Amino acid sequence: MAGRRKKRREILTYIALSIGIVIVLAPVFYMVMVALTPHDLLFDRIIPERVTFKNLLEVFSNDNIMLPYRNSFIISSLTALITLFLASLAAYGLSRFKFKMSGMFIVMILFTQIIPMEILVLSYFPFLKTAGLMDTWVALVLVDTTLTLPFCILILKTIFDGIPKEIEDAAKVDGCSSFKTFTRVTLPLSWGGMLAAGIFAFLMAWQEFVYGLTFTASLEARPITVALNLLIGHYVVSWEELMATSFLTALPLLVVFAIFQGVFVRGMIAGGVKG
Amino acid sequence: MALIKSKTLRKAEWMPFTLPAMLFLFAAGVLPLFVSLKMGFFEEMRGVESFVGLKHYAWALNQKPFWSATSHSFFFSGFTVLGHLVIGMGFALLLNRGIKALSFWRGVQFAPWLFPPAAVSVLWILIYQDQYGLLNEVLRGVGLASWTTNWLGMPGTALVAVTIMHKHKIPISFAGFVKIALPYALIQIGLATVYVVIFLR
Repeated sequence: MAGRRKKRREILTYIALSIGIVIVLAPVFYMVMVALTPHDLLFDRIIPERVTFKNLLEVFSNDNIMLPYRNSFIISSLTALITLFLASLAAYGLSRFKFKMSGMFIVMILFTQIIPMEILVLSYFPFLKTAGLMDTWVALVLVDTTLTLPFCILILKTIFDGIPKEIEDAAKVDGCSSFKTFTRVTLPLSWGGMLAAGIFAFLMAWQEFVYGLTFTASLEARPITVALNLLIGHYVVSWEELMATSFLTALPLLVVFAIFQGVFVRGMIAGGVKG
Repeated sequence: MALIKSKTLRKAEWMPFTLPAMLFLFAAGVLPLFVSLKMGFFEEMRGVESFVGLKHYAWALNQKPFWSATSHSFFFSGFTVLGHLVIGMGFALLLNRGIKALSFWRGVQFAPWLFPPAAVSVLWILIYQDQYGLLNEVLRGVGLASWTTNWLGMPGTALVAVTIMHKHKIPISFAGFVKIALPYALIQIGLATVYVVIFLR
């Protein structure tokens, strides 16, 4: 009797989960379906009678999308690298040393995470203009790093806190400096957390829209998120191509997540996800 | 002995590690905010900056769009947080019941988060579209053709919830926000409770 009840409960859990996931994934499913529909069958029915890959392939030959796609890759990768470099150092400093300004720094981290980025656009603008950085990758890498850095510091601090100090002490007794201990002992032990933080920074930079819209003007620097939304206004709307582009915009993130899911989820749980 | 360092040297050991990020965040996150703040109190006329006090603030507070936008933000944030809590909590509780293939379910459930909002917004423009959008199609399909509307074309609305309210002629003002939002919130909480009671005993 009790076993049967348990079984029923279990089945109910799976049913509830499936319903939830169907609801959550339905819009994305619709996106993919429209992307696969040939133009003459558009909006005929949700799952098309004939499936075509023409829409997706056409995106690859469209410079209005492929150049921004390349820009997004460069901007996001550079942001992730710079974030990792700055964040791992800062997190190690916070995790291992006691100093008066650490409390202030953590408040600063939380503060920069809380304020809406739109407020900062206004003050970045004159700075980037004087520095001649408007419409460049460099500008976007700089401002995106501001977005990713606070959270990555917090993730990595938690990761470093979890590494026993004794291991480092052993290295120090053998004559390693603090910096050497960090690069030779702590970093190799925390590669999972580093990977999670790096992926997170890449995701954030890839998904960023407002800065990209404000600080770029040409195809040479524009990120894919902005390029995608400009397609709506500038050209005759062809929904199947728009959906194909939307899907391709998300594809790299889906691939990265599929490969590193385990590491990423563990790292996110360690840091407590925001966003 | 390398281990025994002078006290001042050990005190400064954090600096090479933490200082770069600290300076970066200060310069790129905190300073610009104060620059923005300062801009609000000054005015530039023919290259001469003069202090104007709260003049710009008074101007903003007198703008209708400021208030309607603020109330939209409150409305939107309130419902988003509720949705996050209800849906997120539901998923969390379900995933926490010792199910098989946890990482599969967790991964699938997480996938929509990976779609850039910019891409998702394009998708929803299509779903809300007037003539052939999915939402109106579905409504027509289930015999609710009278509910169909140009979801994004209503004056002053981009939020579906707000659109529905406009359709039912419920005016939204900043003061009336709580009064209107409360029943909706209660309905959502009620639904969530039923969900929890039925599925998650």
